[in-house]
Amino acid sequence: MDQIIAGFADALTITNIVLVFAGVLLGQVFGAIPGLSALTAIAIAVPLTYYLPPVGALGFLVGINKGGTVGGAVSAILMNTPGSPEAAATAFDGHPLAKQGKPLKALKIALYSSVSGDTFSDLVLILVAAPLAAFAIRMGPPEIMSVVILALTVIAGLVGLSMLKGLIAAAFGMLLSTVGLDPEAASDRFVFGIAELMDGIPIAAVGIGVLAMGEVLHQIKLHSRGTDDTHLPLASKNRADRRISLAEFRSCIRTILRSAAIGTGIGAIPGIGSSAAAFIGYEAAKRASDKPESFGKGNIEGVAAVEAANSAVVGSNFIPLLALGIPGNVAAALILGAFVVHGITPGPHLMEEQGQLIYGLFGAMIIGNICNFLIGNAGLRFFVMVTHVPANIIFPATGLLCLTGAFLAGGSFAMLLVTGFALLGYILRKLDFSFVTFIIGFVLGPMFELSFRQTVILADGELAYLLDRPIALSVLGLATVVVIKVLLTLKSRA
Amino acid sequence: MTQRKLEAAIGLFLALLSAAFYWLVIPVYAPGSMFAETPPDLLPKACTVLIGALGGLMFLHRAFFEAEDGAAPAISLLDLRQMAVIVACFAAAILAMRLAGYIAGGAMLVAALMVYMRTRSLLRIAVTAGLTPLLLYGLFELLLGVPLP
Amino acid sequence: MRNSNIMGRLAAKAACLISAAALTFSAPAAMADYPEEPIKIVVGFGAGGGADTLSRLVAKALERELGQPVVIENKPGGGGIVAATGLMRAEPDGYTIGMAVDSTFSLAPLFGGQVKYGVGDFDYLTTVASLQNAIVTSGDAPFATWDELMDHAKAGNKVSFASLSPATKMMMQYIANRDGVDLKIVPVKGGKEAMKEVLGGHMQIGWSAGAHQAYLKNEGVKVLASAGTQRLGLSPDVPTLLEMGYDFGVDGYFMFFAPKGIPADRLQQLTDALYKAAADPEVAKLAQQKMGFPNVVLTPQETTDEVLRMVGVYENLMAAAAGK
Repeated sequence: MDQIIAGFADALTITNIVLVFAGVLLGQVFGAIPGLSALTAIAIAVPLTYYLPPVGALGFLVGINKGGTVGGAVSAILMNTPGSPEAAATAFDGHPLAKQGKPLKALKIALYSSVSGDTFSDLVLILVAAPLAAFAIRMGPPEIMSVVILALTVIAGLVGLSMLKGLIAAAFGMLLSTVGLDPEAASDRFVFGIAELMDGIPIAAVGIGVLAMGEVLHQIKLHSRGTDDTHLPLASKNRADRRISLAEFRSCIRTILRSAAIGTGIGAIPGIGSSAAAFIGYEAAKRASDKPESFGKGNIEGVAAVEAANSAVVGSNFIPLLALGIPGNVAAALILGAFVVHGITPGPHLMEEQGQLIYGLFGAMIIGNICNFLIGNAGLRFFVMVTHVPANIIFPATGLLCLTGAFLAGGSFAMLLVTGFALLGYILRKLDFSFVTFIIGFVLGPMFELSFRQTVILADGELAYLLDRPIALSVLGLATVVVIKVLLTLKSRA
Repeated sequence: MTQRKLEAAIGLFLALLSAAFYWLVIPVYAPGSMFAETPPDLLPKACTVLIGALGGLMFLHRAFFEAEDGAAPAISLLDLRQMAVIVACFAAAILAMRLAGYIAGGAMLVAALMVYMRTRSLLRIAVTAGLTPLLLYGLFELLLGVPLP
Repeated sequence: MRNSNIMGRLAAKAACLISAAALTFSAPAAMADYPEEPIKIVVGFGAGGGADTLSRLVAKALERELGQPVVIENKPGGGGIVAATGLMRAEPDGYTIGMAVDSTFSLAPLFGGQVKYGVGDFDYLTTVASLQNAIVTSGDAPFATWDELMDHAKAGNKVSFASLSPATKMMMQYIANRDGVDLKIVPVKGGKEAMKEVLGGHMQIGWSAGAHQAYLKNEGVKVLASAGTQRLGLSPDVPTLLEMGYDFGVDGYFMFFAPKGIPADRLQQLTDALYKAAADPEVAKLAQQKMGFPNVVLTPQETTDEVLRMVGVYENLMAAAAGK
């Protein structure tokens, strides 16, 4: 108990609050700028934190991570340029809302759901980290494989107008994800003698290119007739379109809680990540809704489902990180590096050895959520001004931002890649091949392949191995149910 | 040319491309390996077969089973030509960044794209093209110490 | 043997320092013009990771030594291959050096393909830390020592092994072939993943380059063997593979390198400064106490010898794998 109080007291010093605040601000800004992301910010910030006190340093990084979850929704909603795969689904309903003149409404529901989802998973982390971690470690290769398969089945629900084209895009994404060294034999796959391709096509290049810069190309071409118009209609002055009423928020609570639970669960399992959580959350909300046809046309529940799910991952990623020392995704891995620099070795004994520091971190997380809400609320008004900037300023500038973001993530070579993928994104958009299923295939492909191949080796040709894994079997069963349901209710054309 | 015919052509193209990829590219650039339990070329091959099969289906469906609705194709040669110009701007900017540094290359890109969008006010072009790369340079290179090209 | 090795290193360090001092006094004019620009360190791994962290700390110390800013540029990819390929083409003027691991130079060129450099294309300047290579198992495994593991495996049980890289796979395959046992060698994506699989009981043994050290308390993991040439600092009772009769040991170093052809006096000045920077107390503290990697700083000669030794080790392992 003393530790808890001392820990929270550590967190509540002015320096720490300022650092957390600065982190959240940085995260929101980086997240909101198309082409940049919270991940870029964390990678840049880790070396800067070496000279800060431990709680402050970690609070700063956690703040960036949290701010990124809120900021990521901004460019997705306002410009239809999600900078990373996990925000792609935010644009489904968020951008239509902005086009209807309700950008503030969309941004607000995104903010509220994001902070709610994040807070939910932080509470889970603080209260039940240990048992959840014990559960998470039971998730071996077959379990990971089945969760990834479940996530892949949501492709079927997102194919867009044509099932054939959606599946082609997904298979193409997965094919591109095999570029690089084979995970098992280390033999080349489509490297073509280019050393930069050995680790595969960087996910940032594909995300920024197809999702954000593809839209930039589209808009530049669209506005090439020489007007000084903005790309969105002017925001509605109607008060109801600028806010989320209590009734509206209440109608979203079920969705937010469902998505928060999905995100927390997926975040606790190392190695799956927020993109899968976002898409599964969206699909689950659509399935549970009594008017699923309104999804994709500007339903606030759609925004809420995605934002609550991908933000919940951020908190629960710390469950395996703190309890086992195993980072759940790249951001968590970078933060783990910072832990180590500050002399904290996350692992099973962290609580006994560094209890005070961990409660300090928890305190910082809660402060982070409050800052996220406050800064987000104030910032929305600022971000929404983007919609008043003429298209012939904002899209050229965004184009440069995308190039810069790609360079920060992967050097000069990534700038070339991102341009190529932007062109691909444009063509996919134009021909109505779902770029979303393409991204899902690309993001989940390597996870699927690795866990599948690990399972094959471990099973050693015996089916009994799989029959011995009840969790894997039940998740696979669920995936089968989803596929059958989709096939039965197939509405999209061939 | 209508959208239906265009899609039929794309389907056929994807089917043929997949076949070529399967037999010509994969064996050379993603060879199998004796050191792996699961062949490294399994997933690439599976994806290629899937794309080819779906492309073939798309061709058959669009060519023979779908009624012609006369819709204009979603993408035209003009679209592609315009896109080539835009992409060329980006490619030139990347080259310029290498040769003349980030600020010059970035300013060139923004200015070129603004001109392409027929921005009339020269002042606006100058200010936007000058400020954007300078701001980014200031933020990353000077403030955060991250090198830009 | 261990003692003499350490003594040897100390002697070499002393020699290096003396020669550095001698050079500084004897020829100040020749060196006055270097360095007059910032120095760039190209790190072969992403920002925020262990190699990056070490490089940045060394860079700080190097700034003090050379009186010029030292900037870090991350060029991740292929375990240092992308950075090394870039460095090979860099101007050998002493203003661009690289940081990677020893296998970037000893192992990667043997695999061929897109690796376009050879072990002789670089000068190896100094190491900064050594990995803690070990083969580990979980605390509740049915075997507690290497011999028990081998008995378990020889009794017909196919033991599953979490493999971090082609190199660790090759080494385990070599051991399995030599002892006539069957292993399931499962690729995983890094040391932390391997720990997860071993702790969760999904795989029975795993390779660790040091990630296991956090789990040693309360026997969360047990070390079965040290895979380096010496016993591990935190597990001094566990024998090395060499001691148990296997003919290889891999230490693994984070190390600095430069393109061949830097003028001799500059190279000398640079290596001396780098040597001191790598041994800086702050670097040592971070590496040793926080990251759990001993701050082993080798002289250029020792570093080069180590890389060349590893070329031999990997060539043998590969020949054995190909000839089976």
